[in-house]
Amino acid sequence: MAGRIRKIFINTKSLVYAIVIHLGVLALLLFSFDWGSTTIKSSMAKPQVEPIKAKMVSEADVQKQLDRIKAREEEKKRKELEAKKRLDDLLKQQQLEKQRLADLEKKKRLEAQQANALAEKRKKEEIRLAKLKREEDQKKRAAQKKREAEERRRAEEQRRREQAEKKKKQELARREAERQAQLKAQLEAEAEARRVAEAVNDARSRYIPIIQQKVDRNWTRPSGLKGLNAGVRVRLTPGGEVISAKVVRSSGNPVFDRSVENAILKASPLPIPSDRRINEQFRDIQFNFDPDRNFVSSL
Amino acid sequence: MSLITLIAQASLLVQLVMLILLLASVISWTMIFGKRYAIRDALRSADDFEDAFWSGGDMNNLYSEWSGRRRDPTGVASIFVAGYREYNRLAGKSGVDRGDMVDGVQRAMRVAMSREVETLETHLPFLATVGSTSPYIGLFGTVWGIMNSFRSLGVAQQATIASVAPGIAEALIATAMGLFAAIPAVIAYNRYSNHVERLISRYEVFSEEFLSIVNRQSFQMQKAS
Repeated sequence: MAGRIRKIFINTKSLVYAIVIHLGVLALLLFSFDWGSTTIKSSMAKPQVEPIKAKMVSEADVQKQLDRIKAREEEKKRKELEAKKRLDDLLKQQQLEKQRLADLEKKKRLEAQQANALAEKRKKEEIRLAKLKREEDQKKRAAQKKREAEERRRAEEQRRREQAEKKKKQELARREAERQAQLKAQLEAEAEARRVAEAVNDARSRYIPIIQQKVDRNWTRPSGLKGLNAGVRVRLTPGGEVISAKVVRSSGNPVFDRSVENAILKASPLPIPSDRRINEQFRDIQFNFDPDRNFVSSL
Repeated sequence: MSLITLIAQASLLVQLVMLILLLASVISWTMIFGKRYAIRDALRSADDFEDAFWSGGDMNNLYSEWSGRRRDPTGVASIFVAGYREYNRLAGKSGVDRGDMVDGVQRAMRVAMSREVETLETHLPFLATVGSTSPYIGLFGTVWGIMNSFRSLGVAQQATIASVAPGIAEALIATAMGLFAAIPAVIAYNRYSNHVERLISRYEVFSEEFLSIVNRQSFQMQKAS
């Protein structure tokens, strides 16, 4: 219990100390931290007071001094009057002089005005002349420009015409060349096709017997059947594997037909030419299977 | 342009950062003072108790004196009170051999010591946290303020140093406050953790010494019986 009270007391005291420290720092900062407004220390000048100088004086001296002062004052007054009179005279004179000066000035101004008017007139005349000249020049220049433009236009037209002609000619030549190239290509394609067809025919006459032979080797003769033949249609992959084999012209005997189909499936892969273009012609072939005669292809 | 106008002109976030830092500073100073008194008390009570303990008085008297005080015993005294109470309990019982007695006393003292250590170490983590994070908080406020002042600089037609400088200054106040909060906290943390460690080692030494006394006593008792 007592320990807890002491703890609370200590904590409170600590908090108070902490706050005091922060306030102190803040106050310090507020005092020392002042930007911008530089404090101007006004150096107040002390009013200078002259000490009073005093001296002891006697009565007679005082009287004498007074007399002297009085005399001086009278003198002063007289002098002032005189000065005033003189000043008046001077003022009058000055005024006269001023008047004269003003008259002179007026006269001069009049003269100047007349001169100005003259000068202005002359200037206007000059400006008019200059304007006239400028207009004439402008006209001349415009004419020149027009002529030049005309010439340029004509030259341009000429050039354009020439260009168009040239273009036309080029176009014609190009078309001609194209036509010829097309012709040539056509001819070449035809020749190619012919060549391919020949090659295909050639391959056919070479490969069909081989295929038939292979099928024959894989063929097991159903017992008691002789002198039959069947037309079959075989579909192949590019590699020669048999996809399907079907009798399209039956021999009349289903056993024989089935044996032929089995033989073809067994003979997979069939030998076919590897040349791609010819190979394509061998993807779907038909031939006649006749084991007794030599094979007659009918593709 | 005084400090107060600078703070008042700062953006809301920066003001918030400043407020957080001010609070952290006040709390850490409170803890600095509180810890100072607590450590001073602990040192004084350890000195008092050890003086009394090694002056060669009767341990029973010592026990009744310290356990009967108005305040709960703290520091070394509380370790002694816990150990001696356990010793008395075990010594009254029959069939308690020496090893059991030493173990029991040691355990009781260890419990008391860990409680003492815990009270000594309270608030120290807070000081460490303030010391390590408040510069970053201040820096965050500064960066934010400078970002704002640069943004307004980008909008302004004519960029003069006079148009950025106040913003940067008011932003830098946040860093200054962060450092102001952090530096005392770090110093106090280092100082107090050192004191606390020394006190803990003192407690450990005392408990070892007391344990050896208990060991010797029980050995004599065993021999006598």
